[in-house]
Amino acid sequence: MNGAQPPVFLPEVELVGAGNLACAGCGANLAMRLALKALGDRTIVLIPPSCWAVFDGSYPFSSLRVPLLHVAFEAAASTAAGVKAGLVAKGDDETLVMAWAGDGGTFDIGLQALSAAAERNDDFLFVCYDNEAYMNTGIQRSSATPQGAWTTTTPLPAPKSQAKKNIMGIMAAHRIPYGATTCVAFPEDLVAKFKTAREMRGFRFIHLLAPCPPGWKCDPSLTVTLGRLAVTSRYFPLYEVRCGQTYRITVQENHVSLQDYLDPQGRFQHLTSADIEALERNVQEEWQKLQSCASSQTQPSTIKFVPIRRRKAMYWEKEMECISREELRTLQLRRLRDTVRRVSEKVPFYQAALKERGLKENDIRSLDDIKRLPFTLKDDFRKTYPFGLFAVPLKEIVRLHASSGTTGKPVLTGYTRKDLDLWSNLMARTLTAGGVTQEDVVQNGYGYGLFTGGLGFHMGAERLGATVIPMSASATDRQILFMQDLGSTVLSCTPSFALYLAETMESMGIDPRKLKLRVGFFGAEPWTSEARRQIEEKLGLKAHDIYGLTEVIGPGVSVECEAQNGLHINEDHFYPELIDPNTLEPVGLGEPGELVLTTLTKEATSVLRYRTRDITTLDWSPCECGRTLVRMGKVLGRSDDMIIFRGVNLYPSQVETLLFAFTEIEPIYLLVLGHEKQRDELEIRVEAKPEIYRGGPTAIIELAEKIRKKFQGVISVSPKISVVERGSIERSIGKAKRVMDLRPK
Amino acid sequence: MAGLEAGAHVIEGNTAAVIAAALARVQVIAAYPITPSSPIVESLSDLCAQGKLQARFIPVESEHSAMAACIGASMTGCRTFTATSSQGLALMHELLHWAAGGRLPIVLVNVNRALAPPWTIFCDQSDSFSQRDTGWIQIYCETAQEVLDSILQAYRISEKILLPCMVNMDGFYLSHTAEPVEVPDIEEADRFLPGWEPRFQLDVAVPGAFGGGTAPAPYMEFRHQLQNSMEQAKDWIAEVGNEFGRQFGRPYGLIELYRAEPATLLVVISGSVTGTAREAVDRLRDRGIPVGLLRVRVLRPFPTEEVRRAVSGVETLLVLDRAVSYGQGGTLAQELKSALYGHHRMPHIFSGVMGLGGAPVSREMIEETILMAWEKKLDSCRSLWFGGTK
Repeated sequence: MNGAQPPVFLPEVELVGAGNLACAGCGANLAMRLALKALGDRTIVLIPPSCWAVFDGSYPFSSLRVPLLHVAFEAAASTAAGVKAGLVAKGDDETLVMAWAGDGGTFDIGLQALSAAAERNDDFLFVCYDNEAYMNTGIQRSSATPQGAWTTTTPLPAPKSQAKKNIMGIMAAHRIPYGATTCVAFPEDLVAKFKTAREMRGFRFIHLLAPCPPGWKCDPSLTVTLGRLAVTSRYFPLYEVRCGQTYRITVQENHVSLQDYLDPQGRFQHLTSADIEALERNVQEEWQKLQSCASSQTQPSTIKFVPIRRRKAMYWEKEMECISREELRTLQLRRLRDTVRRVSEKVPFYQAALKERGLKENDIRSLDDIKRLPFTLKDDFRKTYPFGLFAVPLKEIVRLHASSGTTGKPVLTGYTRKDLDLWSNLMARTLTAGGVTQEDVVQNGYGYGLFTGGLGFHMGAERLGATVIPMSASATDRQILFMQDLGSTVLSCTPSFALYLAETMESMGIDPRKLKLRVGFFGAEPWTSEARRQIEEKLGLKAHDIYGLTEVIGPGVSVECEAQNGLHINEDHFYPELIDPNTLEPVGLGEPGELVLTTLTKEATSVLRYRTRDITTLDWSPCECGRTLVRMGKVLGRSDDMIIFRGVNLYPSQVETLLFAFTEIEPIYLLVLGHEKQRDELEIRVEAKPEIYRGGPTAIIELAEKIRKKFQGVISVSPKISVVERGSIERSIGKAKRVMDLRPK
Repeated sequence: MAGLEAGAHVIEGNTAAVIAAALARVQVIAAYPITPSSPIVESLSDLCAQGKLQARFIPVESEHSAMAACIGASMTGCRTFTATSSQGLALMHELLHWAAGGRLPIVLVNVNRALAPPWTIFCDQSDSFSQRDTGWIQIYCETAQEVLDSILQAYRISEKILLPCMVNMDGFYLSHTAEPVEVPDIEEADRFLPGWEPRFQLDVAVPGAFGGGTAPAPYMEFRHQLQNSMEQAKDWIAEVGNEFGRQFGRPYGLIELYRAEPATLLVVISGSVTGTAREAVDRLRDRGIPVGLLRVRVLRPFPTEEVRRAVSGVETLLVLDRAVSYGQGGTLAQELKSALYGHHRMPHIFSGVMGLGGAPVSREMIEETILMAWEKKLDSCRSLWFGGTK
């Protein structure tokens, strides 16, 4: 093992009794012993036909000290799904269900049920103990048998000519929360992976290499030796895959040749050195692929690979936040139909739009039919101002909010009593996703008033039972005073205001990291992951991105969970779509597009297909936190804020990402677009750190040139970079102004 | 969903099955859609999604997995339910044995549909008749009301006897035809069918192994117990049917007799076509011909004693089958012959095969066949096939 790692002591508990019927040197027997040490006695084991189904013991004996259910060969995964559902129905959400199948019950006859359970993300652990052939029935080939191996159905002179099936590739393609390979010869690795699997939720898959002396034709004393050689020759690398995309190689040792692994095994004795060379090339090719999977993903976020400190995810409404996708779709369809009926009865604007398309509630037969509904634009709110989009009479409206209309009439939305109840609940969900409890003190720095941010957070924190300080977005000095005196643990405000607070504290000689702040919720304006890093570092808290908009409800549309890997949209109340803003057609899977939201439950102002203008991505893969709600990525820009500069599409957020990579400048900037000599000009104003100014004009010019080159290299735009006097760019309390467009219209 | 409330409703057989599952407070449902049982699967998933039914719904990828998941859930002591038809039931075959051998009180609604090829979605009973050796109790219903009532009884029967139960209804004739059905009050249903308290289950506090390798002698013993339980089930099915009658006013037995005393000829039949046969019997009775009808409601365990009692003094039986064992003939006819062989007053037994793959069966056809049997013009070694294109 890697010498730098501390020794891992194996748990003492023994859940496999001595004296079962396994062969001498059986790798699979050792595997179960180690696995149950890691999993503990609150485990139910299911075994389909395989060696284990036989050697566990004949009626009335069993060598397992945990419950064991023998199941049909092709049905390990489906029976496990049933056992889990039964336990949950009876209120037991803690007992682990483990299907324990051989390579036949996994790679071959069990594959259909396995794939289905993985796709459903059923909550159990499936282990394949792989001895690379049907050993129980007498060493017949399976699709897990390696190329070149002898078996009784691949007899000489025609050993198996096909390569071993890549089962982990298949499982990873299901984007299951956790997949891992391990081997009995690496007990620490094995125990660690089973422990990780035990603590997770959703579908987990472990592919375990279990050497088989009778089947591999080797001495029973060589089980562990062969296991080690399988890994060190890179024939069977040990790694983990999370959500089908994040690879981590867990054991990297001095490399030995494949021949060292093959030589002691009788099943490979017929191979020539040319055969072995060819096999070695394949092994190295697969190893390269694995390494590139593991390394290409280490770059964007190294945090993922820090040994997982899994805190148990907290939910406000677990049954909805972790609802199965099928159940969710059924619910969404019902609610969508209700919404269409409501607006077609109550809102003349939609009545006309639906009539124009000849659409009725009954035409919405599947969620896909949403494409037939009309879009709603911000302008539609203005055209129907003030009450044209309301679906209930004013007497049922208990609250009005409006967005900061920068041009023309404001966007006005109403809330019934039920809407406010829903909103409070969604905000409680939002706060809980960040780990906030009633023990917390929430300092709410969003503006109170017509803006939805202030009251939205206020109601959510109250619903949760936390202590709320309704600060609003002002009085910086008093904000800091209360943070110190009242011991605020949670901060909610715009990200630019958070940075401003940090800066102000710095200038007052206060170290924000000594405050009790631990979680922050930032939104209402786009911010980059670089801005997140700065906020987290300066304020010493975990920064969660939130998303919402007045037209839909306010904040509470989506929030980042503890995994900080995308914002879970509350899909039970808002139906998301991504469209190409030019063609208005859905974008391809994984491609960025404009987010379109349909409210599914809001009563007072229901909106069909509201075009948010925000460009983002959607990710349906399972999240580590256990939530099944889709995750939206960071807002990449706005379809209408997009700056077209000399034919290049630029989003302010792109600029921000590039700029904030420079540690020499402060996290503030202004884009100025001008027009000189028949040409568009772009100027980016930034403020440098004090030491740059101390370096004099040379340092400033060098910095500006460095930044310009970066822009030219990455987005083929060569802006003028102006390093301006410190404090000369206007700081904002609300939404930051980042762009000044002076071009003639 | 229409009809969930207690009282009289006009609903289809599939809906009656859904309501019964809800009234039985099933806890886990695993099912895969297939015509004509798909509406059961859809409605149950809808009830679960809406929170009207507190059950876990597992949307499996095949009927094989549906039964496997029911087996897993039932092993934890949960009341489980599934529904299927035809090819789906055939795909489950291996696990039907598994559920019975595992002594699990799973209830399955099979909406009878013929098997391919050639493809058809229409009704006959070959799908479930060909599963009669799997160790499942089998009930065949005549009306949507009986579907609802039988499912509630099925759990009472199965959870005591520890054998699974298949409740069958004819595809389209019952599954998709709306009829008046009296829906019991949920509290009444609870009184009739309290929760199940299993004697054995997967329990981490009491670890045990289920279904593992067994030596020949104990294997034989387990299987003998299964046969004994089937025998005991006869009395219990009758008792449950009577109790149901006392509580809801609709008693049920293993067989049902219609205008049978005294009768010289009995038509033996099962399923929804019984209604047509009743009409034929009425017409012939009007003409002074002493015919009656025996409906087989429970096929497994086969009600040998009841049938023997019922045919005492009857000269001729005409067994009308919607299922065939190829190379032998009508399946129900074989059952009758087997049950009556050695009876001191063995009647003539004639077999008719009709209505395969939904082929229409009219009152006239049945009348005509009865008359041929009455005049003993049928071949007692071969089934008469009627109602096809020829």
